[in-house]
Amino acid sequence: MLYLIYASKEAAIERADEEGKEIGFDYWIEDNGQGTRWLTYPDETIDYMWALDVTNYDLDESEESSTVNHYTPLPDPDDD
Amino acid sequence: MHISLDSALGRQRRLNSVGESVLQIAPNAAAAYSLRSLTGGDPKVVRVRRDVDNTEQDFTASGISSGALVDFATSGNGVFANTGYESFTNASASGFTASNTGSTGFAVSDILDGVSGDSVSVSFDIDITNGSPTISLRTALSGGSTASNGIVYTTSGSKTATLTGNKGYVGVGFTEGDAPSNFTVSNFKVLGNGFVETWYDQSGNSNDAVQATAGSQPKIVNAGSLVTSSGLASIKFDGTNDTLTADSLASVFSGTDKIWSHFSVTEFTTDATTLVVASLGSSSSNSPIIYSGGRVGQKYGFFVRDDANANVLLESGTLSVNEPYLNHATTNGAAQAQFVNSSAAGTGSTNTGAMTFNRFTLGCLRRVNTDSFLNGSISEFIIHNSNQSANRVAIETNINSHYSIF
Repeated sequence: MLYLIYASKEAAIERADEEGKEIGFDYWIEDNGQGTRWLTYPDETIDYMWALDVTNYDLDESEESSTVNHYTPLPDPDDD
Repeated sequence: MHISLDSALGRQRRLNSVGESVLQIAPNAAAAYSLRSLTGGDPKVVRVRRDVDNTEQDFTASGISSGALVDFATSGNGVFANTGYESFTNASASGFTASNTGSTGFAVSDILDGVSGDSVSVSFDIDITNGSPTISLRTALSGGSTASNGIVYTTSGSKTATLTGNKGYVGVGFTEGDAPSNFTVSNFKVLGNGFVETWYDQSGNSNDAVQATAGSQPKIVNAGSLVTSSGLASIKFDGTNDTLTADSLASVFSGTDKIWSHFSVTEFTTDATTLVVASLGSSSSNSPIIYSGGRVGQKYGFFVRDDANANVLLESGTLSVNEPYLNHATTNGAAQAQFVNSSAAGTGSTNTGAMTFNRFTLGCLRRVNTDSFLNGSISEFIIHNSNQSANRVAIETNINSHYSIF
């Protein structure tokens, strides 16, 4: 798996939006606020950054050089 | 307020009337998700994305049972286009007739682009007069090169092929193998997958359960076949990240002594961990929680915890994996009860206080964090915010009449 790490959720979603448009998901075609929008959605990391799974994204050279193979997610609460 | 477990048994409706739907037996559901009609009509039940080209379409209950959904998921490839065949006729997305005497030809259909390691399964009929046609994935729709294993055919008949990319590909195509060649391909289908983008709420409250992220959508068509449980349509959650959410439903259950009552048809694929079928939670606190799902050791569990951490867990006896179960559970702030296949499977009398929810999810436990993903399937999940003990047996009879679970 390949991930890009973003400082904010908004920045990660912006990249996810870009890929969703490129793929041509229904959300971007119908323009009615419904339908599939993203290929992947960011997850919060243990250090409060945002990791986006870009394994199947069309990355540019700059992005390719910035990917990481893993991240540590925000821990699950031990509550039940 | 207190639920007296089956205290109204003597007044309970033991059977539903012939032809009566679940929502006619017990109207005013908060949300009702199923792949069959719960209303008596032919409601829109699901919106599906097919992976061959990411097109989406709504389906009614009859659209699933008639095969229209599977047809949708197995179409969407492009019309076969010719490069090099001397004769090329009857071209469509489902086939063509090609012949040549000495040239090299390719008939290629556009499919969803893939990368090395991705697999595509197809089915088709082939009628060979001569030649040895070969199918493979292609790097381009015109020209290009082979991008997968190739499968050679020397006999006519109905065929199924699985092609695995060894480089990036954009199409699937046939070449003649050797010349002269004359052959016809028909009934060509990409054995694609269908994923649920929306599971429509049949209650009339528009609490549709949605998933806008392709990688987290549960599956309803797998490699050209309907996902089933008990031989009937079901939705498979992968146990990794598949969910459907309907947060608009959560506020219905926020407050003190709110009634939660659900009926579900589910199947678990493993019993190694907690597998949550449905949950209520909060985005700002790990309490409160209400969830229903499989527990370690293959027990059916119903868990309730209020804002102040007062909690109760009901667990059934040991069940089996890969078997469908009809589950009913309820809480009213003072008492809890669970039934599996219409048999009592735990009671509680925990007095829970206020609960403030803003998240409802099918397929995992979702509050501040998200975990306990369901590895299994859901065929039906009906939720009421009213006491359904008087209707319980009639509802269970209706569900079991359809699914033949027990």
